[in-house]
Amino acid sequence: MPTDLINLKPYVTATNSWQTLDIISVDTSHSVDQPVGTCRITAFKPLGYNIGINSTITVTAGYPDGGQGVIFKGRVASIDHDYDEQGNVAQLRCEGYMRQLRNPEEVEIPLNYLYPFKLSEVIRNFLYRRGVPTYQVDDMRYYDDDHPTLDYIYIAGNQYIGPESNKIPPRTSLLSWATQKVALYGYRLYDRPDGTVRLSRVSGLPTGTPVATFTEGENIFSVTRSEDTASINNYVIAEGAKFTDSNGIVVQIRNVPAFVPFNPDLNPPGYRVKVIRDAWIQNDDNAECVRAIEEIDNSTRRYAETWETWGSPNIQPGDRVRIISPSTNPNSATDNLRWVLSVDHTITDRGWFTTIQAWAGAGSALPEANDCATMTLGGGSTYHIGDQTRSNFQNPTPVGKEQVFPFTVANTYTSLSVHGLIHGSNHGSITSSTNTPRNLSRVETWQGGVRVSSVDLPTYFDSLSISYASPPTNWEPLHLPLPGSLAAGSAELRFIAGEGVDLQTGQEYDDYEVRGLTIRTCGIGSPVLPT
Amino acid sequence: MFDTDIPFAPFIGFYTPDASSTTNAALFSVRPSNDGGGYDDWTFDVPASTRHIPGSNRSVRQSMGIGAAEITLQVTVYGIDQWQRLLAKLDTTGTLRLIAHMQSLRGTVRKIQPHMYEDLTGCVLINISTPVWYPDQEIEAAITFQRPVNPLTGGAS
Repeated sequence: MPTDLINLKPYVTATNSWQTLDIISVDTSHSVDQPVGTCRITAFKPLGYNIGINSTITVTAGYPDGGQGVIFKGRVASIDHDYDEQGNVAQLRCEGYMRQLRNPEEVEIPLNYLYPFKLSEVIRNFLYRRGVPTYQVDDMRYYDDDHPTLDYIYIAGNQYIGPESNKIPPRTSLLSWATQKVALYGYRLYDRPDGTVRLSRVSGLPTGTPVATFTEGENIFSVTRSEDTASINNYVIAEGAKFTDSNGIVVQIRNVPAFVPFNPDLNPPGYRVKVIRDAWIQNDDNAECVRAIEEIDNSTRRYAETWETWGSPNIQPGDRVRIISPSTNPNSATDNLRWVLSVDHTITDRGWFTTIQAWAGAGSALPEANDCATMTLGGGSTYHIGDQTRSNFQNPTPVGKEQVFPFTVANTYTSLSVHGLIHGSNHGSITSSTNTPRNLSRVETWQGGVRVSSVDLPTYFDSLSISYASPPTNWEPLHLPLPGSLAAGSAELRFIAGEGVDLQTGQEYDDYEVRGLTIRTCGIGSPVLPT
Repeated sequence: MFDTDIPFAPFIGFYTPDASSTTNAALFSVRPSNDGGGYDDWTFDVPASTRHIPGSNRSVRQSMGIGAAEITLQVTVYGIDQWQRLLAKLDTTGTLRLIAHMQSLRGTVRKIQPHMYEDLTGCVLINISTPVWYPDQEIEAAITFQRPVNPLTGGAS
């Protein structure tokens, strides 16, 4: 237990390179969750001829015998001129350089939809574009080591999504867009007191060497540790873009956990759902990362420490610090490494005090559930549909002009598609210039005795001289979306032979074969919930 | 040291804007501030706060600099003209001239025969109080000055 009197002589200056203000008081505020840092200066007038709106201001504070730092750097946003019995003073409200991203662009900002961008590069581009003088942007990476070939976080570059969905619309605030997008992946974009705009990870448990240690009974005037359950979300669904792939199949980017652990803080029912939707989540890895970050940072009770110490100019938001306070946290001997969330400085004639808030994400990522289910139809066997005996087919004898495959539909889904191998569909019916088919070979979905949808099969070359007896030789892959909406429960998939006059063979029905058929239902992933 | 009836050192006074301005200087003599013949000196204000660290025997004192030094002189002003000059200099900055080495701040010492004076620049006359008029047009009052202090030099800069 120290027994001493620490005698400090802090000083503070506020300048705009040419002039120094006569300061009465200074209040600064910076936070990883408050992108634009702020500073309020009360100063004696006159201010000086070149201190006005948009002037740059640098506030430096420190001690004559060491330890000084810039506690604010930015521009004057507004000035209040006060004249009363207290004197003739001015109150300057200043903002950090992130303010330069605030005003929207009038035109859209397209991103190349063919080639992906590192999200951190997009952010760098914004900061450069808006003339932010100093910035430090970390390359954004996935939260774990399971993505060795995709360890950077990319956006755009999904050719199926197209240019319309890969642009920032006009009149979008770059500040809002950028801070929201990086936060999905556990990063923050914010002003630092030293004037640097920073993009860094603030997620999970911090590692590495802390920049400072604050210990109860040594350098803390007051400390509060808050516990909060309001922000817990332990059943997280991440949903991204929806697009149609090259096979015409609707794909919904979606990621859910395989199971949801019971959380007594949320009982009943022991869990809380959060759906994170963002059209810029355009691949499965990004969706998994977004879900995992939310689980790591917000799936457990939130603890945050806030404490006051004497003026500490070198603590920045985003730093790692150690806070040891057994009175508020009995486990603080080992559980003490935190991310600095916010740093506030207050300087008056009563002294210089710094208030720091810190936190660590203590959850862990859950394994992901499979969002798609595949059901085999007809045992995966080969089916010859038509009315002709074809010696070059794997099954020369047809099963008939129609083959029905029953299947079961999940409760909710975003896409339904059939896959397998196929050959010979719709060839003779449409390659003849004088043949008018009455209808093409197709796949129909039926439910409750009602036809829900019908999709024509693709056209594949068919010749009597080609052998189809040994699949997959001379067969083609089949990937066909099944439109329409089916209710949960039993349904049927019907492969039907098209009708028309085939001038090559003189036959009236199209003959083709399918094998290895599966129905793939996506968007059905749901975790095992606690009971 | 000072004679209350006749100005002992006739150049004691308050000169604005500086000591070279003698034509409208407000002259006065300084009286002892107590019956023992002593004279009040400058007082110093140090804005500071002390906070205790809970759970320890440690305190942290933050001194936010030294405030302006302040002195209150018991003076006698001779005549209505001098009194009105003094009134006109209220809330103005100028040079306070006193007998040399009779107070603790550093100034410029000069000899104006036969006495040694000390000029203290940067003084502000902030208050004139308890004036008492006597039939022979002598006015006694208490006047208060402030002056910034550099603790390293004892001067105003």
